[in-house]
Amino acid sequence: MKYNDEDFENYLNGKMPEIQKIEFEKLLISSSELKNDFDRYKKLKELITNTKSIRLNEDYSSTILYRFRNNLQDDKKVKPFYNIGAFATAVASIMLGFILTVNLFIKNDIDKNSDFQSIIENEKDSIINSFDITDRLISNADSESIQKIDSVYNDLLFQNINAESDLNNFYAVTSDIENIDLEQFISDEKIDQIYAQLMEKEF
Amino acid sequence: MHNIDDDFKLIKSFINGDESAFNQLIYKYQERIYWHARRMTGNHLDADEIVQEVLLVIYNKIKSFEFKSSFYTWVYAITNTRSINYLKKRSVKRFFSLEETENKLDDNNIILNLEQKQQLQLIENALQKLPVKQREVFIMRNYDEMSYEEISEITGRAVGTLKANYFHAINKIKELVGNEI
Repeated sequence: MKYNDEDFENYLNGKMPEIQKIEFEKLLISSSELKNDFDRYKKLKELITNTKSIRLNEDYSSTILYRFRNNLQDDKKVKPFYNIGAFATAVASIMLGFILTVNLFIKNDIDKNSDFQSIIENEKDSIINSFDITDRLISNADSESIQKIDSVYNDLLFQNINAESDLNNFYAVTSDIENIDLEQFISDEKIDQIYAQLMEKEF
Repeated sequence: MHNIDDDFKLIKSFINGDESAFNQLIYKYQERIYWHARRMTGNHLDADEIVQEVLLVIYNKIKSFEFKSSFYTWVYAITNTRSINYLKKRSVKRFFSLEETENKLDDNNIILNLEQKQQLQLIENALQKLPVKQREVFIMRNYDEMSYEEISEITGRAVGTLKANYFHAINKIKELVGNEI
C-alpha cells in the first residue's frame, strides 16, 4: 500500500485504524523508502510546531503600536504641508502647461496666420500687377466678353475722369474765392451784417 | 479563539471615536500579523515594515468593514495582500539591484532562544524557495490551521487549485528541510 502525508498525519495523531497501523509499522521497518519519507514528514511537522510556538520579545511587540501612533501623528502633521505643496505644484504645473501651450502652439498659429496674410497680400499684389493674367484672360475671351470688359473699363475710366475734373473744379473755385477781393463788390457794413447773421445761425 | 462579538464591539467603539478600542484590537492581533508577514517575507525588517503598513490600512479602512466575516479574517486578508505586494516590490528592487539580495539577518533580538532562532531560519530559508502562491497556502494550512475553504475565501482561488498548490509545496519543503536536518 502507498502511504501519503494524510496517512502520516493520521498515524502521528493516533487517528489511523488499528489494523492499518500494524501494517504501516511493519512496512516502516521493511521499507527504507517509506521510513525516509515518514522521517522527513515527522521532522517537518516538528519544525513547524516548534517555530509556531515562538513568541515575540515583549520589548519589540510593545513598540509596534507605539511606533504606529507616532507615524500616524507625523503623518497628520505632514499632511497639511503636503496638501499645500501638492496645491502649489498643481498650480505651477498648470501655469507651466499654459505657458508652454501658448509658446509652442498658439504663438505658432498666430505666426502662421500672419505669414499667410503676408503671403496672401503679396500674392494679391502680384496678381494685380500681373498683366500676363489679364492678357491671358482677354486672349481667351470671346468678342462679347471683350465688349463687356471694355464697357466696364470705360465706365470706370469716365468715373475717374469726372471725379478728377470735379475735384479740379472745386480747387479752382476755392482758390478763386480765396483770391477774390470782397471789398470790390460789397461794403464793410454789409460784410459785418452777413457775419452777424452767420454767428446767430444755428447749424 | 477569536471572540467575534468582542471584536465587533471594539470596532464600533473605534468608529464612534474611541481610539483605545483600536489599540485593544491591535494588541490582540499584532503578533499574528507579524508572523504571517515574517513567514511570507523571511525576515524581521520586512515583516516589521509590513506590520506598520497593515495597521495603517486597518486604521483607515476599518469604517468600511462590513461585519460579514470575522475581523481576524479581514485582517489576515489585508496582511496577506500587503505581504504579496511587498514581495513584488522587493523582487523589482532586487532586479534593479536597489536592495541587497542576501537575507536580512537583523532580528533586533526579537527571538532570544538560539535553538528557536536556528529552526526559524531553517524553515524561513525553505519557505523562501517556494513560489509565493505555494508559500501562502503552506503557511495558512500549517501555521494558521485554516481549512481550504477559509484559504479560498482569503485568496479568492478555487479549493482544487489550493490543494494542488499545497501538494507541491509540502513535497518541496520536505525535500528542502530533510536535506538540511
